[in-house]
Amino acid sequence: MAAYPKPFTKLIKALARLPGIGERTATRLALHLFHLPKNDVDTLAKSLIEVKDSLKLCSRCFNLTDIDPCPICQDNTRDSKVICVVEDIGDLMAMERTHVFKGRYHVLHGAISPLKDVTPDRLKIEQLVARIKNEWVREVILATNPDAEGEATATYLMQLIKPLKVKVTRIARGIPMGGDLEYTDEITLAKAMEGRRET
Amino acid sequence: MPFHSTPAVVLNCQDFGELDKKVALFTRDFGRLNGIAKGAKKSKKRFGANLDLFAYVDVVFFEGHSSLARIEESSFIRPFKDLTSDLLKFSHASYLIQLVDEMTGERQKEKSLFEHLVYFLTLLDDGSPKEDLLRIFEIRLLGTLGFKPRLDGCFKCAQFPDGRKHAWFSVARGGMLCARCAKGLEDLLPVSLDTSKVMRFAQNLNLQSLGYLSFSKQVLSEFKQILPAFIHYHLGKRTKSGDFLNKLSHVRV
Repeated sequence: MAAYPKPFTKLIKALARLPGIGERTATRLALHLFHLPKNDVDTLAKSLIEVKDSLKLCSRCFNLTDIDPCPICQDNTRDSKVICVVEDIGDLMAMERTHVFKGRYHVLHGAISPLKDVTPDRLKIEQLVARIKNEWVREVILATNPDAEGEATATYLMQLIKPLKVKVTRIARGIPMGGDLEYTDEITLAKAMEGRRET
Repeated sequence: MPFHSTPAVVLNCQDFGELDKKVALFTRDFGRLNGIAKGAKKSKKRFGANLDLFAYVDVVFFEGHSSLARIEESSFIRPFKDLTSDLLKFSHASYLIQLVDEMTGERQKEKSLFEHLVYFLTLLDDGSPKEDLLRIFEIRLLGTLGFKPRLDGCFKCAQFPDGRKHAWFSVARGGMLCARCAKGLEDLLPVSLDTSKVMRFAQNLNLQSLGYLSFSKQVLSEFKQILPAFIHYHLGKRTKSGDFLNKLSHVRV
């Protein structure tokens, strides 16, 4: 049976190591890359190397950055006394897209997970506590995902931070915009009722 | 393609592609099955939080062309919403579901084990996390799946080692040995006769009474030595949630 040439097989194997990409998708991507103009492939290769060489985590909030501290941590117009805690960098970006939050962030880089043996000491929790103590933080907003692992992480953080005499809040959970009460599950509806507010 | 409906507990749920979720379920009528919920990340009407970890739900699914079942719908029977209210509780619940996930084969129907899992998750959701419950669940899980440790006497000479305070437990042989038969053998764990009696009692007690059972410090300590080791031996590996629980007592932030 004919096989692909060696360099092509090497590329397929490298692509197949990316998350969510199996061998068939990797082959399709490799074929696509082969058909691209050389300039485009050069740009892609350079971008990959540049990302690896120049990007790091912000030493304060652990956001992805090319300068340390990151632009958000350096921005003096933002409220440094309010920290929004998120699980990963994607969540931080989602929060930024709302243009509502004007404080600082702290990225945990995961959530507590017994099933994956992710203990609290494997997350950036110790650093969060140090920031709360050193930066005279007024409020910590827990914006971990509203799933089992995110909820457990938020509960753990709440129990950890409360004794530091800092206001701890949890982002509201409930019915999404455009949702339908009739089809909303019990947990979501219960959380929406618990988190109701006076208008 | 016929649709099936069954009560189930969610053992695992992961994002799959842009819109879907890959879910591991322990069902009452079909055993453990892996399925895919198309559009679950977007559709709050069909799934919402119903596919989150520990959710006790009614699922509707059909067999697709792949080995993954296609989950069409799920609705809560009981959400077990307090399981995430405390890290220890969350860890205990995770250990229970991971044991079931790892110890059962796919499509291996285990109705009794399903009832045990729901019962123990309910106890945990309603009460506080107790190590005794974990050990009882391990004892019952092993019995249900046919790995019941033999504790009614020395498995070599069949004598019950009366008159002595301790016998030995052999993880590899799955049973108790009297001091005479244990001579020269390695990898043995000490087991008191009290522990062996309590284990037999826990093996035979009816399900609804298990929540009232609690152990002395010594019995609990011996169970902690024997049961996880016995489970690891049969699994051929350690469980991540078991390791998590062991580390949890040492983690200080």
